Parts: sequence; C-alpha cells; structure tokens
Amino acid sequence: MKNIFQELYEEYHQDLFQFIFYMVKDQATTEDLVQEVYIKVLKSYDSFAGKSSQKTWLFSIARHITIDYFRKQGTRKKHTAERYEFEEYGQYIQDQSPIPEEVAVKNESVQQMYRCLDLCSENHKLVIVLRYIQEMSIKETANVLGWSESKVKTTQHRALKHLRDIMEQAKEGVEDE
Amino acid sequence: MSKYENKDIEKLLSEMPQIKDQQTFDHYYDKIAEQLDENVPKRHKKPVWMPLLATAAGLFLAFIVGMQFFGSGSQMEDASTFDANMGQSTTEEREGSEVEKNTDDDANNFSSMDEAEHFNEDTAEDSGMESEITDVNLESKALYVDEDEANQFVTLYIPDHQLEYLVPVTVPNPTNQPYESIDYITEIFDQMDEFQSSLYEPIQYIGDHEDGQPIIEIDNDVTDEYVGGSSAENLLITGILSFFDQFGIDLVRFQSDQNETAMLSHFGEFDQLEVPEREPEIYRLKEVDEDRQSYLVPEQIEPSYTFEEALEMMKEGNETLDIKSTIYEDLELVINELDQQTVSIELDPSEPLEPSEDLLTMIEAILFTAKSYGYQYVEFDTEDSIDHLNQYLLNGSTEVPDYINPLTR
Repeated sequence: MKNIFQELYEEYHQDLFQFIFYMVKDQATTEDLVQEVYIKVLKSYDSFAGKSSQKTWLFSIARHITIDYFRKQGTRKKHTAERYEFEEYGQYIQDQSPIPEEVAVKNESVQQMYRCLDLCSENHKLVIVLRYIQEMSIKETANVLGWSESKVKTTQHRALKHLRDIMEQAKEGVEDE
Repeated sequence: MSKYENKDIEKLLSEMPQIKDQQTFDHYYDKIAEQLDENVPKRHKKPVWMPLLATAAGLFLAFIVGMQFFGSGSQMEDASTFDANMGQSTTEEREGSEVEKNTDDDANNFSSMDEAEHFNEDTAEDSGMESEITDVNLESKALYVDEDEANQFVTLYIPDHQLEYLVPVTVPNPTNQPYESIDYITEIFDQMDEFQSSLYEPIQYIGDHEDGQPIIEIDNDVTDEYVGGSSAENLLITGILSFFDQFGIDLVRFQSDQNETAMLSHFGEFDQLEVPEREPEIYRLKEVDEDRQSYLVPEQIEPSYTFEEALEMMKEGNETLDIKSTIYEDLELVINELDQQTVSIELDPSEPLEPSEDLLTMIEAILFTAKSYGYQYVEFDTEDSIDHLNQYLLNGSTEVPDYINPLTR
C-alpha cells in the first residue's frame, strides 16, 4: 500500500492539493479532503480499470469529494441575487477571509481575481481551476468532470464572461470608495 | 475606465500562484494508514462471540414470544419493555450502518433515493396488511416522500434520443437551490443514450428576477449547433416550463448570453414565457431494453376527455413512438367519482390479477393519470383478485404518488 501511495503522492500530490485548495480556499480543509481522496483511491485501487488515466481518475474522485463537502457544508455560493446586486460586489469581495501568502505577494488584480473566484458557481469554478490553474486540456477537463467537451467549452465561455463582469464590478466598487 | 477582455481574465488566471502543501509525505501516510486500519478489519472480521450472541438472542426472543402466548400481565409488561428496547437498539443499529454507508460510498447522490424506497417498504409494513403476494421484487415507477423530504427530489424532463417526447425522471436534488438542478441535466444523463440531454447544453439558470421569476440564459452560439428543428426547440421550451411548473412558477424569463432577448431559430425571439396550465395526461410505457430502466411517459390530452376515456386510451400504445400500453386490453374499468379528491375504480379482469411488473406499471400509470385529473386518492376495487401489490391497496384507498420515474442507476 505504501508503494502505491508513494507513487501517487510523488506524481500528483501538489497538483491535487492545489486543485482542492482553490476550490475550498482553506488549508486545513484541503488537507482533510486530500486525505479523504487518498483513502478512497487506495480502497478502490484494485478496481481501477484503467479506462481513464490515473490522473483523470484521481481528479475525478477529488472533484466528487470536494462537491460532496460543499453539499454537506451547505456553503455553496449562490450566484443568484449576487449577480443582480453589483453595487455590493466591492464590499463583498473585501469582506472575504485572509488570502494565502502566495497570493498576497501578487499584484492587486491577481488578489482580486482570487477573491472573485468565490463568486463563481461550482461548475464555473471547477472549469476555471482545471483549465487555467491546473492547465488541463479541454479533453482532460471533460474526462475529470464526466462532461462532453462541448459542455466544457460552453461552461468555460460563460465562466470567463461571469468573471469579467464581477471583476469589473469589483473594480468599480473599489474605485467608488 | 478600462474594461476587462476575456484575454485579460485568462492572463490573470494564468498568473494565479502555485499553492504548495507544507505537510510531509509521512504526515499523510500515517493518517491514511491509521484510517485504513480502522476501517478495514472492522468490516470484515467477525468477532468470535458473534455466533454465541446470536444464539443467545434467538433463545431470548423465543422465550419472549412464548411468554406472549402463555404469560401473565407482568410477563407481558416485560415483553413490551423488551420491545421498546429492541426498537431503540434497532434505531441505533440503523444509524450506525448509515454512518458506515456514508463513509464507504463514493460521493453517492442517491442515498436519499434509497431512504425513500425504504419509506415505501415501511409504509406497506406499517399498514398491517398480511402479505400474500408482495415477496416479488418489482420495479416501481413512483416515489412517495415525507413532507420534510419534499425538496430533496426534483423531476427533470429529458427528451428521448429521437427528440420526439419528454420523459419526466426524478433524481435527488443535486444542489441546494432546486432551480439550479436544471443545469445538471446534461451531467446526470450524459451517459444514457436513450436520452438526448445535450438539448439542454445551451441553457443555464442564472438567478431570479426581482419579481421572483427564474431567469434562463440561452447561449445563442450553442443553440445554432445543438438545437435543430422546431420540434427540438419546442421540447426544450416545454421541458424548461414543465420543470419550473413543479415549483409553482407561472412565468419564466429568458435572455441571451449577451444579456439581450433570447432567440431560438424556429421559435423566434422571446423574453418571457408563461407556464401553461397542466392539462390531463395519460401515462404509457417506454421500454429501452431489458438491462435498462423503463419509464412512464405522459402525453397531454384534451381536457374534454373524461378520466374514463383517458384510461381507455391507455389500453393502446403508440407504435410510431414505440410507446407501450399500460392498461390490460381486456380489463373492464368502472369509474365513480366519490368526491373531488377521490375516484373509485373497479377493476374487472377476464382472469384474476397476478402480481407482476405489468400490473404494478398499470396501477402506477392509473395513479399518475388520476393525479393529472386532480384526484388525490384512488380507491381500487378488485373482486376475486389480490388485495395489494407493493404498497398499493387493490381493495382500498391509495394516495397518488409524489414523484414519477425515480432514477435507479
């Protein structure tokens, strides 16, 4: 078991950690969820049929566990009212929890983007993180999410548009103050 | 003021920093090994005292049952105390196994469905009926839920693969916001080639208007690619309106992804659509193949048709759509409306009714049809036949189901 775990850890751990971290934005929670992913993976390792790549399989499990966490917490961000209450974005975005050191050393726009990701729906965030932060291809992303490639493209298109809207609104909010 | 372009957003995203985990390999390995050690042996290793305990429990149970036949008042009191304890213990065991189930299952969205099915079983048991025939495991196409479970399920309307009709399918609500579940249709049904769920790819629920109506965004770039033909567009619109109808919504707003008036090439431009009042429906059967789930498929009929006439229509299938009849051709039906909520149906078959999948499908199709006519209860009356099938009384009153076609896979 240790050998399998070591192999997975060396190959994928940092990517896996980063993916979950950008989804949940909390160090301790990320550690717990990563651990949960490994346990699930090791328990079902024998039944891994190899139909997808090991990476796709691992991220697919990570995605399920992360979404499951959101559902249990009931903290999923609703993009309903928020979308129509732009005047509150500036305030909302500044009220978020502290940003990690890696982000804090970046410029203001990157920090703002980091906060704006919280205003994306689950699906938008998944696609954005997998495509732009994990740098997965459309095909890899589709495999991880169990979607068609066209759905990934459509969701990506919408997610970028949504991020553009809220980034502009956040900027206006900051400028108004 | 500068405006962001997509490329600016993409550039910012590419500049997002790498987040490194500070924990070591050993930290994770120790924790994982500990958890795996905790889980595995407990599930597989039976303690040696288990057979002894089981034997003792059996003897004790036999003793208690014996007391109920021969016992005095005080002995009966003891027995009821035992029953109460057993009840508590059973609950604990059930909770324990539920915890284990939640821990072991993959992110399983369908556990609530299992619970609901158990509810149906419990209902039949609780009714005190002496079962003569319900040992058969029949696939139900109806779902009953408790009031507090009502928002745990949602019915989605999926086009068949030929884009000829819509099939209502009930799934555990995949989100906290029930309206958002319409965004999950392609995801849930993607691998099921009996459906054409890609029809929903261009649409997305984006929020509520200030007047409370849901807003659906239609991506016109994608509609050109995916939604072809007026019948497909009509199915999409009907599916969306039917979906919101279950939440009591009477108007749905639409917009394009450019925040403009929505447009479908055959349907034309539109920014809002009223949810039409539901007309009576008949329910017939769609079977794909033996390995796959079959579904009840509704078809709206003119309100001028009586309930009796509607049931007669269900004795015939639709060969063009490969939809099968649900009511036995040789079955005589005598309908009497007892009050606005209750209709009685006397079933007079040429041969005694036997428990079967077909009979269950017939009963449930009748119940859903009765529901579409506004009835809450159906009192079946079958002379010289079985008393009940699954949870349905065939010589008594049965409530119409809450949800149709629960997805079983």
